[in-house]
Amino acid sequence: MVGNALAAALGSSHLSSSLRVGVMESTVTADLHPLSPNPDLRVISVNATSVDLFQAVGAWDKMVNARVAPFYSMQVWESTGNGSINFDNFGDPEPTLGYVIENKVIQSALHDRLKELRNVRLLEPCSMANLQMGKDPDDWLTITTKEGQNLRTRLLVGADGNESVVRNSVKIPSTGWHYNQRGVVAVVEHASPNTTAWQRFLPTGPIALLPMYGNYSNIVWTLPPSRAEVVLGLPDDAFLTEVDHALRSQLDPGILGFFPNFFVPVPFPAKNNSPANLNNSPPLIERAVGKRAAFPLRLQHASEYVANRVALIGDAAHTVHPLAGQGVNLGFADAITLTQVIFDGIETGQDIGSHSILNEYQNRRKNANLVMMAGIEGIKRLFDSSFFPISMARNIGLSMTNALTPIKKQIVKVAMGSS
Amino acid sequence: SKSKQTSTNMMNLTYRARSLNHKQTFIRRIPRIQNRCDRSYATEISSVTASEIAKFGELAQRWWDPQGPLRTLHHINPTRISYVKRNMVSDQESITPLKGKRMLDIGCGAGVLSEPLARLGANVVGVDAAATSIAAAISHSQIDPLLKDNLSYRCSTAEDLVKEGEQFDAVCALEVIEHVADPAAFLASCSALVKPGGHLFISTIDKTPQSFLTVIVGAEYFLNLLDRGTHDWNKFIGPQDITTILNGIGGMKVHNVTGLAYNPLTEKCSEAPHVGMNYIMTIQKDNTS
Repeated sequence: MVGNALAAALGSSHLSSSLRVGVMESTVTADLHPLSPNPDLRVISVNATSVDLFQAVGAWDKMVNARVAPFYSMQVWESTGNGSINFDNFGDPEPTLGYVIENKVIQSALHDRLKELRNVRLLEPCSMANLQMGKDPDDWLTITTKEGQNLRTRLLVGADGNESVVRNSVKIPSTGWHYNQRGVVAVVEHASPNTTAWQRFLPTGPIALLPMYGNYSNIVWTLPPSRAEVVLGLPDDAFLTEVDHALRSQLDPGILGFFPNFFVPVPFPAKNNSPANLNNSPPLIERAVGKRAAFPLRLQHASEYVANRVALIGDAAHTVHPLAGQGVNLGFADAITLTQVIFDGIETGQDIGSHSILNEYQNRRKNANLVMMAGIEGIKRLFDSSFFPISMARNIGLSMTNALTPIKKQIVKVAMGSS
Repeated sequence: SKSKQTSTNMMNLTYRARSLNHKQTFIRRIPRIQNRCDRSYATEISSVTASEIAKFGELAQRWWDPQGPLRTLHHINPTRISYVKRNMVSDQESITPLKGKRMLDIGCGAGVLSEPLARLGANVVGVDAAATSIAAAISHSQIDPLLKDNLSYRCSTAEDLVKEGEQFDAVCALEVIEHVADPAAFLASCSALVKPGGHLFISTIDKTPQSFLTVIVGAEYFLNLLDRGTHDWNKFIGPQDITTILNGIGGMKVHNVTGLAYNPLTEKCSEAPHVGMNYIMTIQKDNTS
């Protein structure tokens, strides 16, 4: 997605005819027309900056014509105590905080847009087998593909995910860790549309209920691997009961601050005990739709984003916990910055694969991404703690932040990518 | 691990990573070219001194090193290009705004200015007195296919070009005049090389106490931005002196003088009011000259 967004951006400027862009996809993109009426499991939440990008490259209309789900408010609360934060766009004329869009809608829209752009060539299937430099450090790169082609380029952008072949072939190390958690995703249906993004932090990890089109919502539930296996295998009604507990039950912290393991199927009083200042409760779930899936969660950051005539964007450069819904938005921001840096370079006659161009991209994105990653990691660790004093402080903090509209406005600005 | 798997699965991986933050000196192979022009200096007086030729000639291999002794030139380059483009043509939207213009980059070194001008559509002739610099320029220009048709280099001097009767739509003498022995003669040659109605761009460093402190002491001694001896403060010259010389030559009108502010910490350069340090100026030759 991020790579295709970059390619579309590079094809959408009055300066684009100076570039010939090749997009290497390892597999042929499946024909996604007509779009199935059934909701897809894999969704992302897209912030305003990413929507601006889609509009600028001419793909947004295609997405809207398929289906997108705007949401206008967000509630973040936790499993103990009374703390919660409610966000909306604070009277901004544009009330939308973001959109939840199925991955395949985005992929399809970008792919269709790329086919329309004259200076972009889709190469599929096309996988890199070998990357070779010339004798001179400024020489172009030669890519040999598994399909037997030889491609020469002045800039290779690796947008090939967290196992990036491009990153490995230029031996850029990356650090990070695997969280001892898996993300369970499912689609559920309500009686009426959901327009709020809900996220509740439990001791075992957050559960998010993200609005989708129609009456659907997407669940992303972070769980320890063993629990994730159990939840994956539950029949639908048992699964819905667990989700209901997770979203509604008031947990008793106990004297020592340890929480009961309430995912073991014992009868648990599902009190609809919303904390005192919780404005709303998440909407009731009527039924589960389709299959569930789980994916491993990790944090990863490449030590460099650039090398000789190589740039990394998106998950190839950084992977984060999904709890903040920011991961792919960071990648789209990378694409925006790299596009700006490239076009600034074209305007002053630079070689766009040169060190000054790539260093400028790295300087702008690395710090911003690291700050966001540190923030997300901090939130995760804060809410992972079951220790009573911390949970109490957390709740007070949540409530205080909820009362402070200027701080909430700033949080919304950051989440929307505008800072 | 999975990444190791990927590595072993790839055939004949020969790429060795060069991290951009890793300070490395690299040796560029310079093809030998006939040093005809070096012989010509033994017999002719030219505005370029032999020591300056030698000084920059030795650096031939390091011109394009992004961490090399000429890295500040690369940092200020986009700002210089942007200035020249804006002051030369009115259509700023085109990808090749300089198309149709024949330009001279005098004192071109290894082509740091010539290449971007050529990419912007100009027909560029790069001229330098140091044969090794020209060789480095030719070698580097062969990397980019975009430069094949409208970029050429010659080992020569401004005076020799005048003798040949050459004239250009624009002459760029950027970061050169502070290295010549006779600035007045050099400016006379540059003016002669401009077609009537054409432009002359000069950038250099003003001769002021502040330029001594920042560009000599600061850059060469404290910050190590430039090698010691890169500049001689006595050869710095201010825009008012250049204007006086041009008035003496006649037919050359100074349109503007703009300062170039360079921040060594961010390595960014921007146009700013002239405050007695680096500056660039636009001069136009009368149509009737």
